[in-house]
Amino acid sequence: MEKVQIAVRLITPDPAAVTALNTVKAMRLQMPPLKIHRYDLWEFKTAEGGKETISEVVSHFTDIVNPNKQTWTFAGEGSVLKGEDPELLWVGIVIRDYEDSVSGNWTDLLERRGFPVDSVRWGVLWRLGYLKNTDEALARKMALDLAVSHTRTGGLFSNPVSQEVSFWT
Amino acid sequence: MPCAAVIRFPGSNCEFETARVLRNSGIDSRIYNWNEIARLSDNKPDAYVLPGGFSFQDRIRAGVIASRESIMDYVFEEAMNGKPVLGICNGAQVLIESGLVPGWKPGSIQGALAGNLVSGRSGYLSRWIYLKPEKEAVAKCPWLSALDGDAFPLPIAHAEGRFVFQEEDMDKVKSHIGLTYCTPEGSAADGWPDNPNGSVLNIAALMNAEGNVLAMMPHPERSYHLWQVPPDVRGFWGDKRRNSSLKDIEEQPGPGAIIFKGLAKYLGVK
Repeated sequence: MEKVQIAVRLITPDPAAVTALNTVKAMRLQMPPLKIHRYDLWEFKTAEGGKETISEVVSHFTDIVNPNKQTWTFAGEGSVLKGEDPELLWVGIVIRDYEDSVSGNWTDLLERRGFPVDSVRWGVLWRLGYLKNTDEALARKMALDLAVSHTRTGGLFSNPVSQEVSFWT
Repeated sequence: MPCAAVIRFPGSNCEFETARVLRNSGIDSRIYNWNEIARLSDNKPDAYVLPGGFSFQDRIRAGVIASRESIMDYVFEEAMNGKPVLGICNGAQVLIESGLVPGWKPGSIQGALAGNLVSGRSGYLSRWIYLKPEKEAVAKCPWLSALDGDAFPLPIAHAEGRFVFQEEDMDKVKSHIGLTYCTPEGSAADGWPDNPNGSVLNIAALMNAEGNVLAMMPHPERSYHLWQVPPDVRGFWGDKRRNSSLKDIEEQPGPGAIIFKGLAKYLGVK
């Protein structure tokens, strides 16, 4: 069983990422991220074919990637993704719903259409760009604090009651 | 005449009809933009409504950005002082993300309105459903105080309307339930289609412990008049719509009117 991840982002600046950055600035953190990028993160478990199979899936379904407005790449964990400033220290946070119908419905659909894909899991990947000389452990801690909304004024990217957070490392 | 504030965020889209049905119920209503805090605090409204729509385009997740706006600090304080606050659909999402509902520890996020969880489909869903009030809620929630306990239909239109709580809070949440999804006959919903989004305990509306803050996913403002009820709705209200004269259809109240009449009664409107 092979696990293949793709990261999908808008070709134009992502309004959700722009709003996230503005909201983080308004939170007046001591060391906020300087840039924020947002991606749809699709994780496929394939019985055979791996990347070749997923390329075919992507070319078939514009609901996953609409080439008129989105671009995608295979996402090797921990890599700096295309278009990200290499002068920053990037921390990736993946937000997934504990239960979501998107993943289950895509798994069913791909099976019905005959693609050798065992499961699909959808989530959102937030990439937070900190100053290059930031201590990596500190950056990860700050990113995690931002990732979970325990209160109305603290955290932002996930609701801990319905969503899980993991590092994309 | 009592006055209610309808708070408009960028992306709200139900503010005009909400303000209008409040006025039709005998409550003066004004729309306040999210950045008109001074005007709002000068006028000291008697109640607050957060209308439906897509505040801040649902960016990051529905309701979260609006919940952090300064105007919500003011609404939060007013809610803590016991003023009635109603969140409809996106307004409900804002209340949940504000920590006002269920509000065991006000300001803490203790519930979620997660994405609809229905086998075979995902995303936005717009249809009519039936609701039933909880007895305790009728007794203590101003917005539900005029309900008689019978099932009644309202429209829903949302992609994230599934109430979810931590496992350890499931018992505690039962006393906060305002409305539940049910069949047209009033029996508890047994999954799709009567429960349209997979909400736990069939919850459609949830209140805080005091009952003055209510977060509801269905839209009462879209069913204020009988003419807004589709003739094919099952049960009493569908029959009433089908069997009424044209004049009655134009003039009679619909099932959603009772929510606003409850507030009017609470505020002493004769």
